[in-house]
Amino acid sequence: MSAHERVRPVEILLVEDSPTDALLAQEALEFAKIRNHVNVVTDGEEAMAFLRREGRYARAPVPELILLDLNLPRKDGREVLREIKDDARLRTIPVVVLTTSRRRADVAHSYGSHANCYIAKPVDFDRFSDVVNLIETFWFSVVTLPTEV
Amino acid sequence: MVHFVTHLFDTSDFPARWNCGSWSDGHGWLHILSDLGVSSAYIAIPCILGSFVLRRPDLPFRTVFWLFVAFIVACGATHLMDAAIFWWPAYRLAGAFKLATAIVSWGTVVALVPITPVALAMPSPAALEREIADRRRAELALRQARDELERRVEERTAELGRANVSLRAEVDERRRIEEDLRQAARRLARSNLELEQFAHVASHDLREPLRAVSGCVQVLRRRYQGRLDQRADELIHHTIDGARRMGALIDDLLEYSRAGGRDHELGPTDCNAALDQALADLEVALREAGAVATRDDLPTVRADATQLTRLFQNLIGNAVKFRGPAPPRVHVGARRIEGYWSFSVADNGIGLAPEYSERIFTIFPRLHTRDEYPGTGVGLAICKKIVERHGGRIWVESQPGMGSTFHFTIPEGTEPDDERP
Repeated sequence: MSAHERVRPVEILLVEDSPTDALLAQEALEFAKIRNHVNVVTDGEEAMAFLRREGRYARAPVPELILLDLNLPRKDGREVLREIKDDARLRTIPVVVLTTSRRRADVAHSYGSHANCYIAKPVDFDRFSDVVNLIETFWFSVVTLPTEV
Repeated sequence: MVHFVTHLFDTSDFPARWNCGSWSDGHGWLHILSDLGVSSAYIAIPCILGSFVLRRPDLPFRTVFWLFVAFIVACGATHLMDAAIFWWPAYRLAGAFKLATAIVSWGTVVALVPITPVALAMPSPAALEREIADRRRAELALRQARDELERRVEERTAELGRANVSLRAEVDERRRIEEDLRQAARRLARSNLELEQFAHVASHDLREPLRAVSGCVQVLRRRYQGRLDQRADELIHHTIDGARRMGALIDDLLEYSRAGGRDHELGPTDCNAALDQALADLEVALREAGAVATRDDLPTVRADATQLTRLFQNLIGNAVKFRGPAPPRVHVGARRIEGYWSFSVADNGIGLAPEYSERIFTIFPRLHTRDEYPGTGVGLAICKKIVERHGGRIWVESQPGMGSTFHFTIPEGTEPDDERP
């Protein structure tokens, strides 16, 4: 069953500490072709709690895609990435590192920690919107996700 | 023999000499008095000699002197016996004295022989005195020479001392200056580092709220597209444009702050390759403007390739940007002058008045409004920083409406300013 034939929207987890950036990302995702539902957490601890369905996230949906910012308070995005990919249950979820950092070290370490891909956020919103569209199209129309099998 | 010794004082077999022959009184007493005179003298002399020897312990040939004393005393005794024999004919005793005298005398002869050459060799008092005088003169001369030497040594020491003091003062002064320079260099390095860090952080931190402004307004434009009046659309357009320009400015400022830095060492750089890279980076702009770029054969110089590419890119980009009605034509040339290479980038663009030819290399302000020509006014300032890092100069020849030729020099082989001690 491809994404076009979906009945329910795809679940996306957005891990982003800046409320403005989260808002812009949600705007871009709302404008996307594929129906999606965005869950937002603002730091690394919340991200792990959500994924493990701890506390108030007991009934949280399992995301089919994680958009992860690197610079987060409390628990850094780099560590979240490592924990997700270390966890047997969580590591199958595709993680797109979506960050303002263009540092070579960040790119290298992200792929080293098994990020599915690394995207440097464009400064211009229109281009950012295009990128978000591309992400969605790619991961939900082109790619076969583990949950679809 | 034994009989002789036991009868040493026996006079029974000899007459007294008075009775032996016809001695007249005068003749007899002549012998007696003469012998007494001699014997007394021969006692006195050894006494004098002996006391002399005793009083001069340093006397050489002491043994000989004592031998003299001995044989003179013995001789005196024989003369005394000769006188005494006139009344006391102890001929055996007299014989014994004579034998003793003979033995001692010959002992003296034997002792004298070997010392004679030694005694002859001893210098006379006059010679000794001369020698002493010579020695005294020599000693005096030596003392004078020594005093003179001491005086000169003192002089020289004082001189050296003075020179040393002034030298030390100079060394201290130099050390102070060196330390000041080192501190100034440290301060400068720290300041540079702070500036770079500031520029980096500022540009990074400035971008974030800029993204918020720009992004949100772009979202607004999209959300409310067609649902707002024209004025609102214009305002939104200006806001977005303003944010975009601010982003470009931040980028350019950051680049300016880092331009001409020492990220990479200077090394042999093929200028043709650098120009190729710059033209590739400008490909879109060149194509859209229908621009044609030509060049002389460019040399290899000692430079930072990245910075050189940037330099060409800025200059050629300007040539295209500030074009006149005709399609832009740019020519890159190079000429070798003593000690350096002189490059030129000549265009057929709008040119500029000579009175602005220095101002354009400063960071702000621009000569044109942004409606006329885009840009932040930092490009040429960046070029200047790059050229100066390489130890060269940059300037422009231009007239309004007659195109511009930008020149810059790069020294060959000599130390650029960042490596000058």
